[in-house]
Amino acid sequence: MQEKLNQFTRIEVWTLVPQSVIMNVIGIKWVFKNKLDEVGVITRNKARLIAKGYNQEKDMDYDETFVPVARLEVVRLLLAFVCMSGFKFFQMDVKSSFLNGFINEEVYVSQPPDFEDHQHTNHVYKVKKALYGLKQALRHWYERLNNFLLSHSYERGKIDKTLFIKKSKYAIIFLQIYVDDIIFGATNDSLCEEFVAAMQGEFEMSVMGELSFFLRVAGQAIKGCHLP
Amino acid sequence: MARTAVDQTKFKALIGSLLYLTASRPNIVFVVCLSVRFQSNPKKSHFKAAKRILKYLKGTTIVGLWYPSHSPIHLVDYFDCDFAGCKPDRKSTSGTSHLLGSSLISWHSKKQACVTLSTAEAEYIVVGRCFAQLLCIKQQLEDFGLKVNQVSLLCDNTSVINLTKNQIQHSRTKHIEIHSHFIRDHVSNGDCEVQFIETGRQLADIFTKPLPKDKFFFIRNELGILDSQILS
Repeated sequence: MQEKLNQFTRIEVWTLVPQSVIMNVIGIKWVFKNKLDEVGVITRNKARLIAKGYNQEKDMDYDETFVPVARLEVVRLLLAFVCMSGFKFFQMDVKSSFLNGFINEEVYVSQPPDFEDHQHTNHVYKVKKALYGLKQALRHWYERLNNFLLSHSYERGKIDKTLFIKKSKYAIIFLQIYVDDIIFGATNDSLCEEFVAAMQGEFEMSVMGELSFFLRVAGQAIKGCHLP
Repeated sequence: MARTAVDQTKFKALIGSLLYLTASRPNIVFVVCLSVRFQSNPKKSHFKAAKRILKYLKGTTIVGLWYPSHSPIHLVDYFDCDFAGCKPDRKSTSGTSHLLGSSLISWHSKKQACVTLSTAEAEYIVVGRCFAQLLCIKQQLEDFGLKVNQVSLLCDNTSVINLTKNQIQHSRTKHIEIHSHFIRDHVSNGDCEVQFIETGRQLADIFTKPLPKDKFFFIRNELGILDSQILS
């Protein structure tokens, strides 16, 4: 938990401000989760600080919350296409992805339970980045990623707005985004490396290697893909 | 006893979980969609049927969609319907499956919104819907850099094939809604062709009606829903 709070200060999620009457302060709490791998073995324990988004009021604390998410059909189509064309696909994961989204509205949250600042007990945090649990978190994350990719001359898919494509003369790279999971592959290895480097420069990433477990899909790259 | 009412919440919860599973298990789509229709007043018999699905799932946990590598890239569509299959209101059930090479990428099973007068008419409604989905897949493939010119839609009803080719309206077809006719336009433009396939090899059957065991397993294999143990 302390590690998480350190990360918060590192990427400047919030600042401590004195509380005033006009603020709508949103409570936060810790959520703990054990992460499993595809066989069901616990790989690590996670602690996540989330805001109680149900206390947010429309127009005051948030505006629009809709966001495009990949359709499963498109994901399947991409997987089938990848298996057929035979090029390698990789997956990566953005660490605490929502914390990357910038927040435009003024949102205040209370101090995290058991980790209060003893010198400023009646202070609250003003959120700069989209905290988990806030209604607009997903939208801001997509916006951030979208702008980042578009500025690196990727093109959005015509049908599916979560598919990004970059074509050069001889090579092509595909990215399929499902909230914070990204699968990508290219006809050319250098394009992949370039993408990974760019992403790592911008976000905290963990490259998970060749596609094996995406949205409960197990895959073996050489033989094909099996969806149990 | 079969008519005894069961807890509605429990039944709905079960159906909800099953619906979630249909996202990756096309083999249970039809039965789940059938059970869904009895949600508002479930009886013991319905609950028993739903639990039967769970039994099937337990026995087939390792069965899943298989996408083989290096198979030829071409789009094939199967569509079928079960004429007046729904006993209470005599509406038909439509089913389609879209395959890229030998990988099943999209499917649907749905009770039609209107009552039809003939099998041909019911299938004619399906082919329109089927092609709409196909257009979407085609455009997506274009994003991937693949241009698919003509695709074949396979059905086991020759009347439909003739209906799609023949532009003339006559007494048997003039009552069909205009939105069903858009397939004709595409056939005449040469975007697609509706072809015949014998009933025995109709792969969309699995989405439209309950099937005998042999046929069910045959179609399941053909759609690439395979046992992972056999593969490895």
